[in-house]
Amino acid sequence: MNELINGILLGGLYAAVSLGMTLVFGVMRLVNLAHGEWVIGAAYFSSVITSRLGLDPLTSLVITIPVVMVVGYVIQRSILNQLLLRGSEPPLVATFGIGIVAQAVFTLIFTGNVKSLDAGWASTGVSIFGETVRTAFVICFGVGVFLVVLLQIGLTRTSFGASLRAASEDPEAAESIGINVRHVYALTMAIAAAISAVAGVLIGTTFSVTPLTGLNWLVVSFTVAVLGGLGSPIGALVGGLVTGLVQTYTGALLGANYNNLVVYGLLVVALVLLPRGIIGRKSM
Amino acid sequence: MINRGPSKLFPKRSTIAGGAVAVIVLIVAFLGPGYLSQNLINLGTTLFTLIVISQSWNLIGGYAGQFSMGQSMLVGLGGYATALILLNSAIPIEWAVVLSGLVAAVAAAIFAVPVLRLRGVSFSIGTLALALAVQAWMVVWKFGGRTIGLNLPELNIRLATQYYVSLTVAVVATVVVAVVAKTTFGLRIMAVRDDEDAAKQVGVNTFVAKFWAFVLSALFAGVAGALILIHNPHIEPRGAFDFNIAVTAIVACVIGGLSTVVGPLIGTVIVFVIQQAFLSYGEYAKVILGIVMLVVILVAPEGLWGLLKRGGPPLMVSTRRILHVRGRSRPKVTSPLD
Repeated sequence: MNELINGILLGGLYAAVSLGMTLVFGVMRLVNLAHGEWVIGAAYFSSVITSRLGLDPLTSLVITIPVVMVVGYVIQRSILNQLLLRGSEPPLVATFGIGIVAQAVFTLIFTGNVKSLDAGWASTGVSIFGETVRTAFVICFGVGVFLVVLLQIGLTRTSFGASLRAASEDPEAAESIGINVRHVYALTMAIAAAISAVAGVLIGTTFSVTPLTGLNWLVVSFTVAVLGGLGSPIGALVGGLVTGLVQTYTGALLGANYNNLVVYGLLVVALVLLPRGIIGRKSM
Repeated sequence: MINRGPSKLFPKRSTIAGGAVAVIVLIVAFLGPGYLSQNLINLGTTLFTLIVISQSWNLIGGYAGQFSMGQSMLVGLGGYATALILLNSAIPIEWAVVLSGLVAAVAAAIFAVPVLRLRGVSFSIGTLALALAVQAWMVVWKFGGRTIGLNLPELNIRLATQYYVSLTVAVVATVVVAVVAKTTFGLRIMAVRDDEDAAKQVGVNTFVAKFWAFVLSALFAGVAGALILIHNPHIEPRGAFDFNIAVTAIVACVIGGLSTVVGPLIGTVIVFVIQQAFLSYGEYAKVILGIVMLVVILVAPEGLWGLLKRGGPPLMVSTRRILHVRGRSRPKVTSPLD
């Protein structure tokens, strides 16, 4: 029972972590290898704000989100957009380079030590169906589901979502009907950065980060996105739940030492057996 | 590179010049222990080992076009294999080095079955997942000493010997890359790189081609791991599987020029010099390298070596004029996708 509840709650967090990656892939067919750095970078940035201004980590997002959105927009506009025209490998390698720079900058500013965000709700527990779980997990789940629903509605019910989908389906046709595809791509990256920032703050509060944990979150995000079908927000939730449940159950079976090992194994299995995800859709 | 056309009676002037430069560099390098200080011999040994790793990545990530993020794992496995062989058997050290390369190659052959089915970024993240999984496994594996790792007794190998061994392996790795680039096997993996579906349609067994590129790459990575261990006879999971090993190789290849023989050499020297220059300033070297890599991708996608060969900046144009090679038609290397 405990594994079931924890797995589901963790799944919500995993969905939130993976959402930004799946959005970027859905719109521009690019997997951001710096996605993990996007996520933990926000956690690092928020840690500065929380300690300087004494804000709750979630409140600090009011400042963090606009900042990461600008960073995401500028990087997409100045570096990645022009590389996307050259095929799939150049932008991929560029995101790898961005990740390297980010890792190094994190280490320079925050050292290689473990860092976590302080919040009153981080260490308390709450009772669900008679099982005590961490309040942080419940918040992670709530926020994760909220983000998935928000993104899904944004993509399918708003005119901006329509232009995103148009740019995704056929960039040239979208351009010809007056959609500024470069701007749309950059906004997509900005939104992905904002979502990842929320996920990063949740991770920083619930767990902790080091400059190299971005790589682990890259793999987790990709596992979740692949399980759910890359490019689908609802798929990210499904993939998150599957990953969370597999992890908690095998964790109970094998011991916590094998937690990460299980996710990596799951990724390889998912990639080989379910290249199109559980739901089996590839477009948005 | 690929279509040289009918072979000429006399080699190109640029080929002769290139060969002369290579011979001079080799002589200077081989005489190194005669005139270099202990510290420089030490650095040279490390540089040559890095070249081995760069060339090994160049095979899979450059020529075969499979952007692997798992090179650290292969290097780490080579190191652990050497440590375990030396600690648990009477096998002499030179054979342990060769065996370690084979261990990494066999590991790659096994891993290849799932990950080489993956294409593009799935392969990249699949290899990263494998690398992280192997590292996570080593942290809990009792026989490998868990987080503490393994300590070897004093090996008593002269520094000059280590220098020569690393240099020799670096030369062998570079020659192998050069030979591969000229063989039909090389053509097959380059065809996979340029367009996997098209390669398949003209009859290339793409899995087999990628498989051997991956295994050959792992062989050299494993030997490099052994060389690192001999240089510093202690191994533990965090250092042995450090992601920065892969980063160094990838950055070196991208900066110097992917899918070229000389590019990764130039790239590795540049990366190594920057790393050494900023050694006492923490991670600044990595920031600089990352930015240099981004600039190269944006401005000179074919790498610095490609830039030099193409004529590059004005300075190089004048040099080319002096060498009377201007105007000679060069085969264009373009992929059908461009």
